[in-house]
Amino acid sequence: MVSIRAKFNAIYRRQGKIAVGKIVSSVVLFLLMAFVTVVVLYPMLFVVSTSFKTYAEFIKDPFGFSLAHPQNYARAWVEGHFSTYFFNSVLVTGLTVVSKVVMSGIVAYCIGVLQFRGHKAVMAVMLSTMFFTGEITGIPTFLMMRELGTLDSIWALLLPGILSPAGLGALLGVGYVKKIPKELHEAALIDGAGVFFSIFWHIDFRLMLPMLTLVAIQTFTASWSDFFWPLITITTNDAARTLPLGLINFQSQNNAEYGVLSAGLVILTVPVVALYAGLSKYFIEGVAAGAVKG
Amino acid sequence: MFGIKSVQRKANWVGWGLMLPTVLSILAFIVYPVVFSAVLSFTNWKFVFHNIEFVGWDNYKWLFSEQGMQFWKSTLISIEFTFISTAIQTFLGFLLAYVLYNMGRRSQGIYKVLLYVPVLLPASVVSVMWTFIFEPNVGLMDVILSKFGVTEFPLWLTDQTISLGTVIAVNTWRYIGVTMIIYFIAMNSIPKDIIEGAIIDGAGKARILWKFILPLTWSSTATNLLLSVMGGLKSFDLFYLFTGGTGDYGLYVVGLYIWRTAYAFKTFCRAVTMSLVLSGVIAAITLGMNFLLDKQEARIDG
Repeated sequence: MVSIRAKFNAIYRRQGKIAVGKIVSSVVLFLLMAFVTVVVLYPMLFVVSTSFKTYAEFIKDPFGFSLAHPQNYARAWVEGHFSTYFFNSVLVTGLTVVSKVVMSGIVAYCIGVLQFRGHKAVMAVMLSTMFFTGEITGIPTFLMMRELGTLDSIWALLLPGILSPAGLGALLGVGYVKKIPKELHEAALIDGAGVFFSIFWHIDFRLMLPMLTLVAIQTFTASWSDFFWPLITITTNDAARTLPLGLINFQSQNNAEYGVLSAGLVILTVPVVALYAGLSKYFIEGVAAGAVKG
Repeated sequence: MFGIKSVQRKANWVGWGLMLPTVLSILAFIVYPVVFSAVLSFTNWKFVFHNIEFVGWDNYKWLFSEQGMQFWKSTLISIEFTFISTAIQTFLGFLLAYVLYNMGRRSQGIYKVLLYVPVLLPASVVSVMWTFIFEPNVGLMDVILSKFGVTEFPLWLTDQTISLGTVIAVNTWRYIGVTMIIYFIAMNSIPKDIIEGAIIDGAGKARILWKFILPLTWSSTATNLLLSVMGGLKSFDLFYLFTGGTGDYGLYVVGLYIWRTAYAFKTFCRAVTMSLVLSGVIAAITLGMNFLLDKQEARIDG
């Protein structure tokens, strides 16, 4: 397909207007985009580069690119306890993602396909709960975790992660499943695939996969980045900290260890960016889906 | 769904059975907490369960007393932060999306992916990263300025007069990708023949931008404004992280004040009261904006 720009140029050329204006504007455009690129990317490259430097090297030449001290990573991993934090983060995020994907899939199937008696009421309740955000539910949930005696242990992160409702993901799923042609399900019933599980497994689950990937990605980034819930529930127990909390804790105790701290930043960021590199299409679709909802 | 009665009856059973965990989870993690919060706001429950009494509207009255003024001061800081950063973010996001829209297909793909990367970074990463940059004297910002001969550096994050501006800059850096993507998707869904028709009619770029692209992306403008205002009024992660949780240096936004009331001052009853009032304020602002934006959209369509 011919881009709009090409069309523009073609028409201007026909009118004999290719001229200084166009050159100037493309130079300005180039400079603008170069500036934006530097502003967006440089802080991140700066951290990667700093993660390979000692403090003395950092002060002497903060801008120079370096790969001199990979041992910063070893120090963060062992002395900085990032190995513990990493394991905890993987455990909490992994189980949360599995739970939200399974829940979203089931809700979408029950409401969108089975359409059990009362599914409209359940859907309405689910929609209205979207209004109540973590600001209101936070304190009661904290008290609940305290009553259960889970504070300062990884259970305070796992229980809400696994058991809380799937929210937006489930609602997206319902809309998605409703678009699957009715005839597909009816044909399956006539063919004798009477068991609901096999309908789910052979038809809806497969068709839902892109939607479930989206749910997995959004849950992953939210859970992996979460700082405030661990901050209030894990107050002293270092063995139960996740990466974001461990990082901030490390920062407050080792203010001058720029290199090791940066290595920690990279360890925390790499999984998210790697996922994004592989599945950026879904991330951007997620923004669009969220925007339609908002 | 299933026309056959016996099948639908079975579907009802299976459906409710499978939905049970979700229904219980909504009851336990949303309905119960919301009701609990509402009740808590009429008690004197500070932190531990001890000598708890119903105190009527005392917590609400407290908000309007001398001691409760910090809530409103903080709310004003949040509103200031929200409206300035929303204006900047929406304008720059539109500009970037428009620049991208006029680029070749390949650069579009690259920039779209690139500008979204900061959105992915956890708040803790963003805060530590920008602390490096704004650190007095050795930070990246001051080092760059010193190359230009500047010797007196502003205290980016600890000078009351500019700290809010610094956080707005970081916040814009962080979220501009969302605004841009939303606009970019909207611009690309404008039917090509409308634009082509205008070009053939001799309309220049500025005219097309003003008469076609701006009005045809209006619903995205509405989405962007709403997302950014709702996010801004609640936001406190960067404020917490940049001030070490204290809210000093003019960065005591309302989310942070509520958070501190709950977990630092350990007065849950006041914190939930403020959360409920704040949710009301946010709902009112959002609904008001929604109404105005809808009216504008109707005017454009008509």
